[in-house]
Amino acid sequence: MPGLRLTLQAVPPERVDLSPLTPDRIAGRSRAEVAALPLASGNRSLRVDAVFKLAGDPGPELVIEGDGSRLDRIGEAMTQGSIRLRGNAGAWLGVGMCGGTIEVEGSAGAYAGSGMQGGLLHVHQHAGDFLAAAAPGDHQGMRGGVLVVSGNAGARAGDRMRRGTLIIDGDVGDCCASRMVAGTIAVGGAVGRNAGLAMRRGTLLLRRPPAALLPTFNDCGVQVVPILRLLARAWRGLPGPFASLSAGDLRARRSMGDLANGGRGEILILLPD
Amino acid sequence: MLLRLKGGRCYDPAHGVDGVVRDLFVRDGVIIEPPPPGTRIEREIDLSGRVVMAGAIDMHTHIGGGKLNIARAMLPEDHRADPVAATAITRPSAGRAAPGTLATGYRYAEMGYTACFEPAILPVNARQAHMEMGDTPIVDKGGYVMLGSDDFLLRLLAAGAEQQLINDYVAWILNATHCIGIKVVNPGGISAFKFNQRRMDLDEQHPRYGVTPRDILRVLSRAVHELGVPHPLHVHSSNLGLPGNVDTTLGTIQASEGLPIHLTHIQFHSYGTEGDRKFSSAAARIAEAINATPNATCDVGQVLFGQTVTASGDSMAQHRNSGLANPGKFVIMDIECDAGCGVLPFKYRDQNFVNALQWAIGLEIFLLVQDPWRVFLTTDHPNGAPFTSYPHLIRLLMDRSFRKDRLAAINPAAQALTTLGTLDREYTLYEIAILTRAAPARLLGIASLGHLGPGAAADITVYRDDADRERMFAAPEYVFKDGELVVEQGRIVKLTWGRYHAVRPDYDRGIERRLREYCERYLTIRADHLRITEEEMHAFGHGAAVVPHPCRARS
Amino acid sequence: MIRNGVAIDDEFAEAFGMKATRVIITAHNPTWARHAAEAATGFATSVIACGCEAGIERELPPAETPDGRPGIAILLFAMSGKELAKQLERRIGQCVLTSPTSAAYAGIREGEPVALGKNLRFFGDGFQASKLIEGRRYWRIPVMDGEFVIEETTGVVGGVGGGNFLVLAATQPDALAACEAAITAMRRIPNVIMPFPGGVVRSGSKVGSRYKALIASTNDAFCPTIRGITNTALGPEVGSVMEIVIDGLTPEDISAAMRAGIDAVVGLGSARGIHRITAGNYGGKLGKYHFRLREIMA
Ligand SMILES: [Zn+2]
Repeated sequence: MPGLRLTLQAVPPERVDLSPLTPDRIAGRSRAEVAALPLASGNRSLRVDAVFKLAGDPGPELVIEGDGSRLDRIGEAMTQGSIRLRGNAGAWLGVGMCGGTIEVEGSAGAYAGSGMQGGLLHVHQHAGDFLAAAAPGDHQGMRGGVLVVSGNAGARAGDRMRRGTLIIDGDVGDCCASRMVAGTIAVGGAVGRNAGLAMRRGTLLLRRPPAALLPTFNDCGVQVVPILRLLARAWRGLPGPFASLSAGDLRARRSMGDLANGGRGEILILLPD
Repeated sequence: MLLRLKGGRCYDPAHGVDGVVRDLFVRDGVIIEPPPPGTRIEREIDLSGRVVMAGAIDMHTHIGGGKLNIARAMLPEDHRADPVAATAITRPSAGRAAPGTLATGYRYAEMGYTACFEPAILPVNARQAHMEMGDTPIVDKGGYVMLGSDDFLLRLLAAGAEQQLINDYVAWILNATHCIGIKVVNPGGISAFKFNQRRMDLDEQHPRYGVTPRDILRVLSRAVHELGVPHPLHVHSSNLGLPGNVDTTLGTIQASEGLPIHLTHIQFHSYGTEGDRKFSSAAARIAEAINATPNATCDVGQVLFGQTVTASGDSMAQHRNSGLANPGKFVIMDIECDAGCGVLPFKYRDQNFVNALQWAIGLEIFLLVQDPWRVFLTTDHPNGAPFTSYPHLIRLLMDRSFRKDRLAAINPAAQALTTLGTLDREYTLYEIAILTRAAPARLLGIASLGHLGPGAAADITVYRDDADRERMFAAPEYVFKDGELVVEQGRIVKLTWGRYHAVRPDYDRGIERRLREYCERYLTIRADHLRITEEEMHAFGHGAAVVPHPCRARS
Repeated sequence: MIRNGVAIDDEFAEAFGMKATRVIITAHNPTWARHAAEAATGFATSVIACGCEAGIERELPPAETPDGRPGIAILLFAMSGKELAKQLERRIGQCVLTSPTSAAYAGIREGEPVALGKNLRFFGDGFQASKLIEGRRYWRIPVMDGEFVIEETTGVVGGVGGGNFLVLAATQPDALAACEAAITAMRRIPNVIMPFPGGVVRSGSKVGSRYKALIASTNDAFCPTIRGITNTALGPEVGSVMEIVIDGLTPEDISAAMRAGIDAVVGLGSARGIHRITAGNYGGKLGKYHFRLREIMA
């Protein structure tokens, strides 16, 4: 796919805000124009070519190479095209993303997918805390789209999530689905303490039972959950094991909560078919 | 150093100068008489073809104090969305509806404003407010201290205290808080709210103290008058935002009994109850009353569409509106049992009937009040809109066809209920200079601001003449503050810190013993600590001076 | 035009514009999908008294349904979108929500969305929950056998109602056998339903009546037992007449169904007592669509 390739010259000494560099925002510009764009870094402003070596020309795909752990806000509010990181991403990866795809071959920092509204975001390794969570002051975390983390995620994943699908194939930290409003979170590995804290609605689907559920979640027994048939079909083609969820009836132990906050959320612990 | 600003077209209503081309001479930060021929001029800037006015004055803008800080804390999204990057001389800041102090100063200066007055300083919060204002760069500042729902005053009134005692209290408060005027917000209503009252009319007795808002208005406007404070009582009337509150507002004008009275954000107090939705414009009645009452002035509190935050001491009104918060979060709080505050984010939408009519009502008032010396250009920042929308508002006032285009785009039901489309008045540059310079300086009693005559502080704004008045007023070519070039081509080129303006009316020291006892018994802070020292003020304001303006006591 | 000894009249079927939607009903097995579908499309022969015309379009194998269970596609037609919405809510609410193991999904995604589960969800009494999956919202309503899943809306499109043809045969058994053959062939055509019982109607009507209260009455010109005293349309060889009425999503669908049905009837031929095929109309002024038999069979 034609596109611009940005190679980090060195790990930047301060964090760099990469939000101006999305395929849709640089579309129609020349490589030289992109090279001259300002990037905020700390309280300074840097030219793109002071941070990266550039190759190729702006197109639907943008490739970023190098250890991007200090590159923040990659793909912010992007609407189309794709970004591929051959390395790690910093904080606020794909924040407010509306469409297109982001692939991170390494890991992502905190707040990846915060306020995400559409598109596909895939982190091949791990994600930090506040994955798909609400930014401070915001009422909603992830609001749409699909976010897949093939590795582990930190604490507060899906905090105030409102819509969309968050899949974590590995383990997830404490307070997963805290204050969740709606949407679906699926976790393949272990889940930390206080899953579903203050959860209002939505689904937390677990493959492994947690060590303990909050006392404000009540057991509703083992059930066939018909909606899982629809979700399983929608997930075909996504990366990771949730893509091969059985097409037939899926049984799960269903607990509803958080009864301290309305109690219409559900934690589904899948039973082997 | 002698600076000559050569050949600009000057608008200086304080001296009746309406677009006359002349040179201005500045020495030591002050505008001086033209020096004798042959005097050495160190610097000269050619302003031919440019429009020159004194620095603009915002006489009612919420730029500091407790509730603004609540708004800032409550709206991190406002700051995230609107960062201000550092430059070689400015520091980073952020925010639009509730900007940080630095962004506030930078943006005001970049628009050619050189003085801002914070209208709601509670005595107990004055120190914090002055710290924030002191940290607001470039512009001069001052504050109106808020009384009228404070327990001490209400007790005095309930006990039938003599006016002299009230005057002493008011004067002491002005001295202690370094303010330049007295503000009253929903007189007595904020207190009544805490006694579970949810609305309070002008002649309704306070459930505990038995006094009425009218009593409070009468006593405070008399105190301000007798102490000789130049700025009339600054009144945020009862029943803000309620349909039909026009009658309250007209009653409030009368309650001053002929003494000067300033009605703030009068747009929010000009509502009728006509029409299917029982909400209509009463701008014509209000304008008629203002036109007929020479002792009354008003600022508009214009609503402009978009996201903002409303921050008011009127906890009663804010509590009423809390369901309208957008995004849905709000704070209603008591402050030290002496006042309250309510902060709720709000999005004015042009397709919303009420918001659209509010927009039209504000503009009707601007166009129907005949005397530009008695109506002031405000959005009640940030309540009606952030102050950064002033250039847009100026264009609405100066450009009839622009205004009519905008009118055609608002909610159709609101269009049908406004006479705005029939109002053809266009403000002139001279009138804009009155609204934003000459009149506020005169109303505040500050002789050194708002004009271009000899002796004035050399706060001077230079615009490129542009038919698009919004573009013109958004980015002046040059802004001088005390004779120093602080903004060039819309960018800050020098950082200064302005000064405070205050009044220091005399009073009988006997009040202090009484206040000491009261504070000791009831407040969380002692009377001596309520008083802010001048050293503190200097420290807050990066060395800024506090300039006292004369009061001529009348009693 | 004569085919296999059967005369095809130079007549046309007159049909009307309608509003239509499709709903996919799934269940644990085909039997229970059919129970729900039959109930939901019951008493839906004619808009005149039933509010809508509805029928089973076809059975769906698990691979063709949204949830991978056996299913049935039903079509519903009404004179207005509003009436269709009303009928949909009643029929799905009373006949599908109630039917064990069922689920209901939109069968048409284009067109105006109309409530499918949008209002029925309130049956959940606050325990209902929704899921947005790939841009479609589904409601999960707790019921006594588990959970009833229903899509929030289905699409309403323009449809055509009232395609028809009449089979004129020597005897009643001849007419019935011919119509059965026609229906079997027509059920293979997508996007159409034949809303009358078994797909066949024997009480064709004319406009008006000698009784003031009635707007339609028996089509006496085609009633064999009174042909001696009426202005009959029947020759002496015709002993029984039956009609097949077709509603379809497009005029092309109706033409295809009529052709399949008439082909099947003609295939039996005069040897099996079939004499004539004709079609019903109102003189051509009322309906927007005209289906000319000879054009369809050309
Ligand atoms: Zn205000």
